[in-house]
Amino acid sequence: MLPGIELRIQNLIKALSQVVLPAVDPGNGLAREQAQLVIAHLQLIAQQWDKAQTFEAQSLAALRALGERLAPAAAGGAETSRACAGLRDALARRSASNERAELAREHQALGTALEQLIAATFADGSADFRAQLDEAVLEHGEHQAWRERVWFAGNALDPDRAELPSIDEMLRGSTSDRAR
Amino acid sequence: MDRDDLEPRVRHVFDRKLARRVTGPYSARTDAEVDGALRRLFAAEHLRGVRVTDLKRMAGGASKEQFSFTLQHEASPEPERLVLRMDPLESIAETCRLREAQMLRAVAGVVPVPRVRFVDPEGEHLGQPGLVTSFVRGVTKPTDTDSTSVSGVGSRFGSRWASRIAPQFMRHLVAIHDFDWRGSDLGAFTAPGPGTREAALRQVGWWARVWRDDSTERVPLITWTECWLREHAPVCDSPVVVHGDYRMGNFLFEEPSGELSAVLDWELAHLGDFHLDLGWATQRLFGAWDESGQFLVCGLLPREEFLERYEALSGRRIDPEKLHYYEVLNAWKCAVMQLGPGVRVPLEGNSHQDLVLTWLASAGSVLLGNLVRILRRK
Repeated sequence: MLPGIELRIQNLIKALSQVVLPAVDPGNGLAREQAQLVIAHLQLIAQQWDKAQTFEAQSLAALRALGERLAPAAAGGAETSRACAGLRDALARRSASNERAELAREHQALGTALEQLIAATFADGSADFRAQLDEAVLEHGEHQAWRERVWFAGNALDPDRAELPSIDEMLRGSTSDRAR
Repeated sequence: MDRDDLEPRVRHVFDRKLARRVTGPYSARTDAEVDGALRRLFAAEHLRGVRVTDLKRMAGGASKEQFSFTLQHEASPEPERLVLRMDPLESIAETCRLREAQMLRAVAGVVPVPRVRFVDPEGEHLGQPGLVTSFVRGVTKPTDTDSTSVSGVGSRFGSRWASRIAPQFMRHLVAIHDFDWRGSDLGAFTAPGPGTREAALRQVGWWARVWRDDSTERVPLITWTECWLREHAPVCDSPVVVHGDYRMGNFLFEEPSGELSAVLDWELAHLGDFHLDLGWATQRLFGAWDESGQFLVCGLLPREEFLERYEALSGRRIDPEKLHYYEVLNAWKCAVMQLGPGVRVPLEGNSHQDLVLTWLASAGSVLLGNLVRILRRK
């Protein structure tokens, strides 16, 4: 049996913690801090590596849902109309592949189209659509921030991390928005 | 509206960053490299018989490389302890050492600050832009209090220290805002017009430029907030010196007296609206909670008391709408910093602290969540 990724990450953490870090000059603050951060990053990677594809696919799905909510409702002047056409075009170019690079490309294209629609709506969107856009973007931002907080809760930098579910629960969608 | 309305010196710094980006990656400077760089600087300053000793890298400094050292030379044989703040190739906060030096010189005597000794604005001698100041003794957090600190964030003072430090913290903030800057040499700054929206719009332009140059992923909330900030930019009646990063972790005090010995980190200082500093200091990110669960601004005093004391000491009236605006702007700025250069700089390998920046950027979503909370006035 070949050594798996989990095993190798575990080996790296052990070697760094038990051999390398104790051997670093205590007077070399930068080197000690870097060694500790390498260990911490590896611990995070161990939690995330086999779920990264799912996480990124769900992030893209959330962005797509935002686009699909806004595109049919868009109304306003020439800038809004032009940007809405761009968004429809980006939505239509759905990637056939689930490869990471393809997901990233689609995310970038959709995100750019959405940003153009946001800027256009502030310029000449109708009042009604502007209100819809405001709420939709804030909702998406709030939900995505919550997902990413769960994803990186292991860094212990989030003061409210105690209220977050596990990564698995979040990816299964077994926690509602009310959990926020 | 000119979406690219930036102060000329700020624009120069951003243009310079892009030009230098391609010359990376960057490595943390070794002691020998820093020693050599200092000697070149002092030679250019016509110092003779220079001795640089006890060179030490200082803790912290995710944004700039910082070293303390002792300088002796013929004209000043007494050893002098100094601090070098030097830019890496790119920084999470790309700022200007010339502006920082000018501001430090301007406010010397107004509030306690390190004394500027030498400045190399373009890195002609140091290799990278840098600033040499006096070394000020003090601590950023009490040595007898537990904390979970990242760059001073999360420190808790406890009531004994807070009662000593809070009055000075308030007094110095008011002194900065009361300072009449018009007679000072602040040539690297461009003041916004009084009674205009320039103060707010230039801040939005500054961080929008950072996002445009550095972002690696599209974030609709960041774009939406930029548009909202442009739309809601308030008038600034009378521009003041704004510190820009006035919070816990950015001042030193002495133990055991609690005497505040220096206000540090003036790299984000500018001429603008005093509400920005109030909205910055009151962020959850920089605060702490006391034993009863009450939020304390910078771990020192409750928010309402902070604002009341500021009004009483300064004689200024805080406009709640302007304060909210600058709370949004500050939260957006923090998110831009962490998710823009916080990712781009380590991606390019252009900092001495790539690993720290990536670590801090992983908390960017906390900042985005906070931004929505403020926008919704929760």
